[in-house]
Amino acid sequence: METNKKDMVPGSKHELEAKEEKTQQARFYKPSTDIIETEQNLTLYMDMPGVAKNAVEVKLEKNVLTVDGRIDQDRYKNLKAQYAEYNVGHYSRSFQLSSEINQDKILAKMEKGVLTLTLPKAEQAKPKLISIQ
Amino acid sequence: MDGWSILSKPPLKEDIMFGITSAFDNLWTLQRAMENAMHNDYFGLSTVADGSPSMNIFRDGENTLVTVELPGLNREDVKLEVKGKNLRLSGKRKIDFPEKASVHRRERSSYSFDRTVRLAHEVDESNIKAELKDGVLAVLLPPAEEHKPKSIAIS
Repeated sequence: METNKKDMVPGSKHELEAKEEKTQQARFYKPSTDIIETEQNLTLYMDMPGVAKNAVEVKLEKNVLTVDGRIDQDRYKNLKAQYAEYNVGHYSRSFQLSSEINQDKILAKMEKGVLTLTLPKAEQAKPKLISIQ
Repeated sequence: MDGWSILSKPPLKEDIMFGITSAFDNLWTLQRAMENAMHNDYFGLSTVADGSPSMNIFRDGENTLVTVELPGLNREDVKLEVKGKNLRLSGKRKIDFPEKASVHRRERSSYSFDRTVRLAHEVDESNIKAELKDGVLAVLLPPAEEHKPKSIAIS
């Protein structure tokens, strides 16, 4: 098969280097994230493979958005590793949000290991068109 | 003087006048080069240089379990083939953004992959189980009957 360089995946999983240390002894990874902004929303897409729907926690506090995703460690309990290319662990990442967000209307959707967060902008943060006299 | 290739350009006359600026530029370039070196897989142990999705292989009793992290992929995006000892995995991920959106951060990417691994035993092709759950593909491969260990009675 001919390989197309443009189609290749860059980089691998990055382990989290958080400012605050975690109290549990477990591995934490930084989920790969895309952030896009439209006129109405700020949308985040985070890759968290292995995290089930009910194992995600999203918090917004003083403009800091924190996402935590837990994987099911028990799945790997009785298995003997023969060959490994990646390690598994929980996910955690925080973002400082710049524009004002309407906190009551945040939408979170977890599907196929991808968390989609839709953060609607608050009225005052939306761009206003100023008509010229 | 040619200088180091990882340090940017040779200083211009203006930069010499404001020497500090160019010194910082060079530092930033060096730091960026070092960060790139740390985050790419050059020093890693992976067998795949092109960055196919990474794979783990476990032993579950007499069966082999292969797991691959494939967030965002649907069942129809992945193709699995088994022949003898070989397991072939191929697929594609496509990431689209709506038009009129400004992208602030982009760490996920579209990719396609095609990879074949050779397992330790031949596979009982009719009893393979595969699931794609929460972005993780798991394939359970039982050994073929003739490859199962047989206990021998000692007389």
